[in-house]
Amino acid sequence: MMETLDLLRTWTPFLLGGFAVNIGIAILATAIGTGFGAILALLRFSRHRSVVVAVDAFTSFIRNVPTLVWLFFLATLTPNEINLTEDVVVVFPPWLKASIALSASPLGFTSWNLYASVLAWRRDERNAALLFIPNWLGGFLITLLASSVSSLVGVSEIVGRCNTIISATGASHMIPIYLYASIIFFAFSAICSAGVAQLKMALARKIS
Amino acid sequence: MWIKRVLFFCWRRAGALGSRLSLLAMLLALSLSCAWSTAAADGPLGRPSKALETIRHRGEIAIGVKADFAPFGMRDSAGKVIGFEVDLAQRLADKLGVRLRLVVVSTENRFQWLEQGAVDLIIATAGDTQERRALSTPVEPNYYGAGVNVLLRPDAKVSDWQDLRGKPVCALQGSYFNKPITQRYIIDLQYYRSVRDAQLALKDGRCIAFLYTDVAIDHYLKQPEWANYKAPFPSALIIPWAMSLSRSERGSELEFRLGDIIAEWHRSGEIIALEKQWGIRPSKFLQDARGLWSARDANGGYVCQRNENGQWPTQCRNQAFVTSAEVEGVHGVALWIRETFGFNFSIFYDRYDGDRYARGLALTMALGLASLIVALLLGYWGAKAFLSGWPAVRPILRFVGNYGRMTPPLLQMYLLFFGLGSWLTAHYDIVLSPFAVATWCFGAYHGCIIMFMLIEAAEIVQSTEPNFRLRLATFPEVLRLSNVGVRSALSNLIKATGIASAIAVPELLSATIAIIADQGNPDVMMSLLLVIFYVYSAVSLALIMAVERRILNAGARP
Repeated sequence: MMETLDLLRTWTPFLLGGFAVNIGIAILATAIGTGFGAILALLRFSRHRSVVVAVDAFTSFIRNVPTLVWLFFLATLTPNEINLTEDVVVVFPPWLKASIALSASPLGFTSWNLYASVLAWRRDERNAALLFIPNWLGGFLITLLASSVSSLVGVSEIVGRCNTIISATGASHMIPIYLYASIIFFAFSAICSAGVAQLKMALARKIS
Repeated sequence: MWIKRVLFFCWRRAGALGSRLSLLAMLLALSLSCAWSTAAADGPLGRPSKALETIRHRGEIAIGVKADFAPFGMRDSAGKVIGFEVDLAQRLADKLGVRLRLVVVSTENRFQWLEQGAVDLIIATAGDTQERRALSTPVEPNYYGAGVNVLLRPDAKVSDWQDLRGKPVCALQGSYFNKPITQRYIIDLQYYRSVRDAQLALKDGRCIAFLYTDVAIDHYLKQPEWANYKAPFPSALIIPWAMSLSRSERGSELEFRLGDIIAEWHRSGEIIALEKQWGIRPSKFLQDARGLWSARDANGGYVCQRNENGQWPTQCRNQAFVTSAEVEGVHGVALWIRETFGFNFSIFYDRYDGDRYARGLALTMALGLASLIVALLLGYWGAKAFLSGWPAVRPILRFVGNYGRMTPPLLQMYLLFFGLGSWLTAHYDIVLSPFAVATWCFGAYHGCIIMFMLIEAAEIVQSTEPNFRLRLATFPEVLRLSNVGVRSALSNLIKATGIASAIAVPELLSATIAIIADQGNPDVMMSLLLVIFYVYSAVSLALIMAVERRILNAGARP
């Protein structure tokens, strides 16, 4: 028991470092997805029907392909370094690929929901329009959980680091290590969700 | 013949459309640029090497080694990577006069990373096979040689290779010997992503044997951890190992430099000394290589010397290729496409690949359906219990539900499958099936999400009808207020099932990766996977919506 606690204490900085990678990937993915999603949402207001149809088709394609498939697609088909000239090398590391793959979900979300929110705002349904914000934050938390799959393509995030610790210290501590990592996820998400719920209520009060 | 004409027409049309589909074209160009290259040898020094130039420029060579193959590459207690191959890597870097940067690769990803430029060279227990020669540039001479064997559980009752037929055997995704051994002995292989996972599965009795390289098994047998395990069979498929460079380095100066260094090592016995130092059983391959490379001709020069084109004489080259590259089955069109356009749709002409792909697709669907049912049942029963008003049920369900939806399914899967699974096997002799674990984890994660949605919706109904009870008959009323969320959770579940590949469920993603590891056709297989998953998710979503409409309509009919 003490030995297990000692082990967890020793490796805590390593695991938390991994969790920071998860958070970083989730933030980057959400930023990329929201940026492109917002552009798509705006394009949806276009008067040209063909543009709207194209945006819908594109969004549905991006969204219907699972994140994990995008992740392996990028991981297997794109190089890690691209030599533009002799000295200019563009680095394309696995964590960036993971962020791009994970941006598919926030992209789809923003593309549909921002459009709906803008329409609601124009109809003066502020409450419905502002719901976009807490839902978007909820989406961020889902992306954070999903970022754990980037361990499957070699990103050293928290789940990958659990496996590293287990291969360094032996299989006897598997349950505590995985449990510990899941508690880190749980604690962070629970605090954030509580914040999101507060925000939702505050928004509701402010408007009504 | 007409099929080929149509295909050719489509190919031309696709080319014309290419300018419009700029994004697709970009992706394709990106994948092709790293997939195709040409090479030709010019003279004994080889043609200029781009990789060598980069290595000199950086002052550093990135060498991929393994960390799960003691004593060739492993981690010491401080987490540092050490081993026989790590020492070889260090000596190579010293010879080239640059720093060494070690990159830990796995059996599954090593050739991929080599091709992507994440590493300059791999010294990663890679067998030199015909198929791998199409994926990379193996450096000749080979630096080591080993065979394949099985590590048997103490309770396994088999006396030779033939007895393994139809029995579950654990294996590592991407090993060169998986395919020939399966074909030869009709073994039921379970593929794992890492050695650790395969070993745990063996210990837990999910399989009776672990198919792996004989030198690694030798090493296991010396560890107390594997007491009573045995490896009584003769090794099969003995083949040499090669250090490998990327495809574009074929015939380059770097390939020649490395080949010369290894030849020198064979002559001086340096590798044999290192083998001894690491306590590896003396390999016949190295003894033979020492004799071959030290032999001198009548004029006193070495027999194995490069000719004017930089090639080693025939008798010094590796000829012992396994015959797994033999293709079988009826396959005209797919082969024609490969010959004409270079796209390798091996699933259409190679029966082995076709079978595992079809099985993967079927398993993906079964997994999706089974976890969908689990998610709905858990969500419904959870919400029902929550609303029942029994004491203490609410806080417990709130905690469990939140834990379930706020921890990644992948982590839950590792926890259950490896953590709990080993414990159950050790104490109660119960073996968990990977499929059941995956079904439970996807079902539980999405079930928790659905539970909260149903609770929220039911509470809204209760605010106007205080006597409202959640029952099957009133379910449509609740679903009407939560259908968008529930539908999105179920559609996410369908898309998440690929994660099960992490615990050796041979579903579609797993099958795709296995085929890429054997065939080196990531462009074709990944594009196919995109298309198949797009269609699969879209059809599943349509089916879910159809069922949802029926439920809502049933509720509307009083």
